[in-house]
Amino acid sequence: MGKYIVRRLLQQIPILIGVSILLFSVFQLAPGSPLSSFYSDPNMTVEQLEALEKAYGLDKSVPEQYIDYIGNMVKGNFGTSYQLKQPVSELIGERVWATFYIAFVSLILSLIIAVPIGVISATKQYSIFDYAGTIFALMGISIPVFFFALLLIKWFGIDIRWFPISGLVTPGRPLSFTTNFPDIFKHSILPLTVLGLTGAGRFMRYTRSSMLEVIRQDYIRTARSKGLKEKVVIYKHALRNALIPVITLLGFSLPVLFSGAVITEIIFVLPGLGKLQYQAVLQRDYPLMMGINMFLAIFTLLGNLLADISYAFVDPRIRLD
Amino acid sequence: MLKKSIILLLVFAMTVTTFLVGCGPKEPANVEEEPDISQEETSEDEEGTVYPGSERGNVLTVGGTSPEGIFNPLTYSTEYDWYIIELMFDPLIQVTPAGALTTDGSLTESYEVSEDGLTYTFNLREDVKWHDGTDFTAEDVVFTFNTIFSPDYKGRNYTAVLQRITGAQDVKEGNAETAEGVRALDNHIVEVTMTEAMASTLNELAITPIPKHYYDKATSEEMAKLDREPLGNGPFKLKNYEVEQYVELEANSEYWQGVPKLDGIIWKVIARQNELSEFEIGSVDAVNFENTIENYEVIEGYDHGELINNWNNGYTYAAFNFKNPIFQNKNVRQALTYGLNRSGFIKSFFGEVGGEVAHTPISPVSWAYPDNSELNQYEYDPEKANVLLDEAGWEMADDGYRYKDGEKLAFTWTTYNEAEWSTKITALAAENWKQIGVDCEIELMDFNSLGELISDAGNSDKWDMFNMAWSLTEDPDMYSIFSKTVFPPGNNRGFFSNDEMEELMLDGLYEFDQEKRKDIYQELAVKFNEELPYIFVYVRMNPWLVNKRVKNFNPTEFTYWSKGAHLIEIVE
Repeated sequence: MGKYIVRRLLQQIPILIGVSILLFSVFQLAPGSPLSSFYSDPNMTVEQLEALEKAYGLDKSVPEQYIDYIGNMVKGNFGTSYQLKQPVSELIGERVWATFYIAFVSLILSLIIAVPIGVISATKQYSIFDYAGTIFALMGISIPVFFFALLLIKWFGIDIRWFPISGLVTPGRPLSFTTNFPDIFKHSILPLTVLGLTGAGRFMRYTRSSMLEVIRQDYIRTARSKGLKEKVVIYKHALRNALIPVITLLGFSLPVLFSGAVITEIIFVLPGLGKLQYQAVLQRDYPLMMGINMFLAIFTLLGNLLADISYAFVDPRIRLD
Repeated sequence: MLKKSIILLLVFAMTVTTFLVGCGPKEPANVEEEPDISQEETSEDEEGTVYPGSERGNVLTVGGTSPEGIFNPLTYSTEYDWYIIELMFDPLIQVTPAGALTTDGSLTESYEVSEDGLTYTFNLREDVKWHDGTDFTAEDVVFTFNTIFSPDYKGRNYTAVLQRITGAQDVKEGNAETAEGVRALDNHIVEVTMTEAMASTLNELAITPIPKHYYDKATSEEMAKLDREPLGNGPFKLKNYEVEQYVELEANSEYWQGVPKLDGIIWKVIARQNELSEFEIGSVDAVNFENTIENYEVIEGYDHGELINNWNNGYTYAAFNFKNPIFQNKNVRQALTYGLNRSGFIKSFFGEVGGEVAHTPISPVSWAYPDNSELNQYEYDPEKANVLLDEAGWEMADDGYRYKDGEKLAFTWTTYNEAEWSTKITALAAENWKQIGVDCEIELMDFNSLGELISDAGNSDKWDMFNMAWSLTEDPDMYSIFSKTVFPPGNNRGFFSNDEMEELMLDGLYEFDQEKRKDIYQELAVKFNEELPYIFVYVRMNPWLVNKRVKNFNPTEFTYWSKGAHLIEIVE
């Protein structure tokens, strides 16, 4: 197992280099320029634009810029954002915990809702509960996030005023999960509800269909004919196998935990990576776009690796050597 | 049995959906029906009225878009960062609400301009201290200028005027450390010499100085590390900054104009969609809301709010590409302007109070704006447009479009999708112009791509029209936008050129007599209105809604609310 992990980790290095070349060239090929934010300033002179181009190193050729970039990256320097003027690693660092907190808690919430509903829906296929669960899931998948968010804000923030409608902290208080958690939690209830409920549908559908498949298998019939209790059959024998595709899905969710949710972040004013990345793209802030995407690429590869490893735990047929 | 339950479920699902859908359009309307809540809260105390937000005490909370956290007057790029900067730093010369320059409340006690207009002497105030207790001196001003001249400076202050300071270009090219044109004559006198005398020189020389002892770093990247720990000399100090959440400032009790009346100011980041809701529930005391017809209706229900409805200093436009022979004919440009229902568009978008049709590249609040009767209003008039197009030789054919020498009157309007007005005006134009036989196709891209497209002279054959907006300063200069010396990559993206107007714009730049300058720009305003290098679309309002517990909160046409903030007061 140890050997397998080391081998897999080494394989990721050329993949990451390939990803970086691909990302860098795609970003450069896209139309637009990091200096566009200066275009609606009538005081901008041609001399000034040229001086800025030089200061940012944009006058160099693309391969030269790439070599500069990758050279710095190997040294652990992800560059400085054109627009925000701060080191990219710091910009990511100061947003990553809020992003992770929102994504992780809402993912757990999704699973807590989705897995039991999925299992019961499958075991009681075509029952009222199954239909209700399916409708609930489809609603979760299809309701636009911004609409659901605005609805919750209207009901719980404006009409009955239980929860604050924006921000992750009360102004003046620190965004610290250790010293100010109750305040942060109160602020995050609405966004967590939005992301948790809209995310649950997907997991519920997966659990249900994979469960349906598993309970028709011969070994389930064997387990039943051994005289095992229905609960043991379902939750010990069937569920463990049914969760394999859900784990794959969870593996893919790892980068999502860090990529942020743009719309939710904008509506609820959360300091997340989603909005940062969105703005970086709008402004063609190349170092920031590269930094965030490389960061996510690392988590995508890591997520796949983790998914592969966890198969070995849930599926006795798979051995990693 | 099974079928029955399916039907039941379907009915249930439909009820839920109609219920949800039913809530949709009610959303904005509901906010309007809400005032009873705020009334309930405010009328609790019969004697003195208690406005929402009073639990925050003597601290003002202003809501708006997130600043980028670049709290440095030389390198900031958004208006929101500038608010915070202006609360912490005072400028060399102030601007009055009417757009004139004044030494009142500025770091300069008095200034002199030499006869030839080339030498500016600033006598600085001697009682100003930086927030760490150090004296503000002439060295700080010299340092600030040289920072702007340095080769790796990445801000937008190196303007046309500053490029004309003696020796500035040498520093920019790396041939000198400091510019010889900026000198400290003694501890509190700075002399600036120019290579050319321009009328707007003083406006641009009115920089906002930063302290040398704090910001003197080897590279701009090292200086940027201080962006979030600024050291200013203004009425407020930065206390706390939480990314994308809030900026907290506290009063500077040593402020040279007297202790601020507020204990502190908080800039709270709020979402654009919820800006009025935030005001309604009292989580912010002031908000700069979008000037839409719906918003003006909604705020009528707020008892605790006072509306400050000022003009925005700027205008939106649709530019013609003069490289395209179609637009070289003035009749065609005028016909397209007559043929576009701008006032209808503005009424449906901004209502009666949110904006008006723009006629010329000067803000209606500027001293340089002529009497409106001198400007052709180009009221929507398809008949007139048809006549003008006929005169220009574009004849209507059977297919409903106009042709000249076998060529169809057709072109593309390139627009961007980030702004609502942008997608709406283009759709309207395509429809309106079809009625006068013009085939206008819309091409949509993102703002950044459009910016690059029009800023490259090599792309001039790739677009015919585009739309954007200019924000203006207190000086009415338009040479920087319409001169033939600023063809792309400069600001004159449509290659407009007119020798007579060029001369006038130059005269305006170098005329120091205010009355003569006024005549020049008023004449120019009329000429632009006639020549139409752009279809001027609208000038809009920039409305603020302020809680009645706040006094002296004064955003104006030419100054932000953050100017003179030491006078803002909270009365309970």
